[in-house]
Amino acid sequence: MKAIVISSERLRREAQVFMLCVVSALCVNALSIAYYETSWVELITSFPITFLLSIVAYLSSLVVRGLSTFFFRRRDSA
Amino acid sequence: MSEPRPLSRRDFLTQVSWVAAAAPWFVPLMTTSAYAQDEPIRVGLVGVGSRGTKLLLHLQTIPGVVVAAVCDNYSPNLVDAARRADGARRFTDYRALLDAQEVDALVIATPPSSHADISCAAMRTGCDVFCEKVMALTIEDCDRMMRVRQETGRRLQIGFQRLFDVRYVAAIEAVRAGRIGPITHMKAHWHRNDDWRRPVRDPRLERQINWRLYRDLSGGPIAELAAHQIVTSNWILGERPSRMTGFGGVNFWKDGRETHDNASVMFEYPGGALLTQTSLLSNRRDGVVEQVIGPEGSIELEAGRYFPEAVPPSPAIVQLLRDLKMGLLRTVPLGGPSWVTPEGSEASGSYLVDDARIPSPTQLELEVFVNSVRTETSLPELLNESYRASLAVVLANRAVDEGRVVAWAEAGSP
Repeated sequence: MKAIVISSERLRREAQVFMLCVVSALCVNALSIAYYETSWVELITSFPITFLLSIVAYLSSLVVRGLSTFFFRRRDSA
Repeated sequence: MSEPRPLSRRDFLTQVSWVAAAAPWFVPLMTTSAYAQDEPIRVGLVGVGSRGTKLLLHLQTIPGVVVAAVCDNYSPNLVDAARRADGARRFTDYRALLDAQEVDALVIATPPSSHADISCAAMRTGCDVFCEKVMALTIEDCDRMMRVRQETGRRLQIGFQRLFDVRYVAAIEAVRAGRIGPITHMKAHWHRNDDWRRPVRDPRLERQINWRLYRDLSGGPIAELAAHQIVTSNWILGERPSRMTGFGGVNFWKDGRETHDNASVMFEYPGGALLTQTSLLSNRRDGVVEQVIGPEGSIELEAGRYFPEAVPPSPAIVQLLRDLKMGLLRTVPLGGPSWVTPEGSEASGSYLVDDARIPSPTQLELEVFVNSVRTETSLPELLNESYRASLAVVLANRAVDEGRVVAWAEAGSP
């Protein structure tokens, strides 16, 4: 049975991607607060929703990156 | 968070003393001790069926009350009540009970057709009377009860227990504070899904047991169900309807009954507000609902919930997601904006009173009665509300029976 090894470099990169997602979601929240003219406290009170959006964005990025890796490998092997 | 504890008498008297402004009939509870036991009040009960038994059980929890007599012309009920009220004398005729002169007050839970005769006889023998709603089935009988009360000076209280519901008092306070703006409409319904029949072993007892199904004994759903909602409408609006109309009939339980199994009545008040009320015995999905509606909000009385029209906006991120979804999935109306069906508010509302801390309205109404007997306090506002509601029931039934609009003036009462 083959052992699955995740390198520390890979882990660091995934953490960076997830942080990017969190920051992006926070930015979206900030923009929507400005657009809908609601309270800036929502940056904190709506954090659970923002965090959920971050997870959705991260999972989406995983799918996109996985598909792109798959297609690039096929092209290289062809 | 800890569970709210039940509202004790002390809580009720000290924390919700504001009720007196909206419901002055609570005053006997606030100004006197309900625990005075030096002079027991001897109470007799006439009619100890399901409602009468409930009243009996409540009475037995009130300190200083002695259930001295029970009376019923249906022997199973009488035996059961006598078993519950140890030491109480049994009677099968209310006149014998009154002749014995062993009670200070009489609680009446018989069919409405007999209310006036029993109440008047009791007051003439010096008893104070608590009589279940409605007062009577005719205007003449309602007036007779008022007249005898006036002549004898006895206390007469009608069992409209919603007048003792703290949620309703809180609703009145909210209305008076302008939280819903001027009342423009009241919507009420009382829907259940049963035939209202009780099993009868001997056919000769049919009318006696199933009195709710016979028009000479009962006012049907308008008297038995709608009456509770009419009295609260009058109370909250502070006036009686100026005219009323409605429809009703038997469209499902076609078992020979004389009273309606569905009725819809509408009342117009002098200020222009309307009360629309429906009673139904063939579907219970909507249950019991009483809504007071104004331009600034609405209140569901029976739930004690307040719904402001101006709902606080959702968080911006939620609004963004909703708008994105609407942008992608919205339905495009074909006929322009006027064809778009208005959507109701999804707001869940807020409670006016902590539901877990509401004392039983039936218990409170009986305690008020006992205290008013003990202190010889009259409660004219309470009787007036009951009288106006009872007249409105009589007139509404007349409107349905005759298929016309009936003016309050027909009651011959201001």
